[in-house]
Amino acid sequence: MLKAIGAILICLSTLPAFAQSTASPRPQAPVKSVDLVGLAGVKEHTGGKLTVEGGKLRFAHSKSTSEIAAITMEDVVTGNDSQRVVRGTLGTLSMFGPYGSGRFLSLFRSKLDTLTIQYRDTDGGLHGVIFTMPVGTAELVKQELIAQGARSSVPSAAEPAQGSSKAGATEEKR
Amino acid sequence: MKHFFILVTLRSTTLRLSVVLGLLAAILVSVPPLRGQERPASKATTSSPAPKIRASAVRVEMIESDEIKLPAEFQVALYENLIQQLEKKGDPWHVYRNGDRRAANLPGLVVLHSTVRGFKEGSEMKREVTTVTGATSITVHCQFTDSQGKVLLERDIDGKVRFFGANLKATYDFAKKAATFAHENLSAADGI
Repeated sequence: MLKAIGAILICLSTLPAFAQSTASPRPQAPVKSVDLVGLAGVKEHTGGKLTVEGGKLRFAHSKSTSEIAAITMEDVVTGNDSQRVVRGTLGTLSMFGPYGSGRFLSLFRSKLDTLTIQYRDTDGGLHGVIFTMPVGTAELVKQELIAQGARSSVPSAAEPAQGSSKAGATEEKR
Repeated sequence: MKHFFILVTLRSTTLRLSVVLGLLAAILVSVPPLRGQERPASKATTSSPAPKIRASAVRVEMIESDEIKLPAEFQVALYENLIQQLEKKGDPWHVYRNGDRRAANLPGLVVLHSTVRGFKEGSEMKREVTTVTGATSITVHCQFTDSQGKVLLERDIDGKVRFFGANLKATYDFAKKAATFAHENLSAADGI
C-alpha cells in the first residue's frame, strides 16, 4: 500500500515538469517596437506592437497590421544600439539651446535592442526589416521565431530567459 | 592757398584713379588664361558624353561583406535603402530584389552587385557632443553587370553621416548616391 502511494506521489510530482517540457511556448506579450526600415507598406520609424503567434510575426501599428511568416525568415539577428532620451521635435530644438545644453542632453541615452530579419516573399525576392525595441526583448522574440520555423545564422543564447539580450548581442557582434 | 588745396585734391584723385585702373588691368590680365583653361574641359564634357547602358530592369543583389565585418542591420539597411532609392528615382525600368523569380530570364536585365570595401562605425553620441568626431562611413564597390556576369560599369560609392542622425543614416546617404549614379548611367531599353 505504501509503495503504491509512493509511486502515485512520484508520478504526481513529475507531471508538472513533464507538462512544462512538452507545452508549446506561451504566446508572448506584445512588444513595443519601431520599424526602422524595410517593412512593406509601413513608413520608416513607425511605432507599433510586435507579437509572434500562429507562426507569424505581426507588427500592428495605428493604420494597419503587417505579417511575416516565420518559415520564410532566412536570418534573424539581434543587436544593440542607443538613442537620445530627449528626442523628436523637442530633441531637435534642444540642440539649439544656449551654452551647449543640447550637447549636454545628448549624453543622456537609453539603450535598445535591434532585431534584423531577412525573409523571402512569394516570388522569392529577398526583403530585410529592422526593428528596435526595449532592452532584453529582441532575444525573446528571436527565440520565439526560431521555435516557429525561422532560421538564424547566429546561434542564440542557450537560456533566453536568464541571459540578457545585451550579452547575446555582444556575442553576435563578435 | 586756395589754388594749392584744389591742386592737391586733384592730384590725389588722379592717383586713386590710376590705382583703381591698375588693379582692374591686373584682374583683366589674370582672368583670360583661366577662362581659356576652363573652355576645353567644358567642351569635352558636352561633346562626348559617356554612352548609357540600356536596361529594361535592374536586379539588386544582397550587399556582400566578405572582407569586412559588417553588422547585420547595416547590411539590411544598405540593401533596403538602395532598392527604395532606385524606385524613387522614377526611372522606367523595374527594380527586382535578389532571388526574384520574375527577373530570371528577362532580356536587358542589369544586375547590381555591391561589396563593402570599407566601414567605420562612429558614435551618434560623440557626433552630437563634439560635432567633429564620431563620423560613420561606408565605402561600397558597386558593379553593374549583365545577366551573364559581364561587367558593364563599376564604381566605389561612399555613405557618410558626419553631424546629426543615427549611424544607419550613412546607408541612406550611400543609397541616394548609388541611385543617382544608376540614373545617370543607365537608360531605358527599347520597348519599356
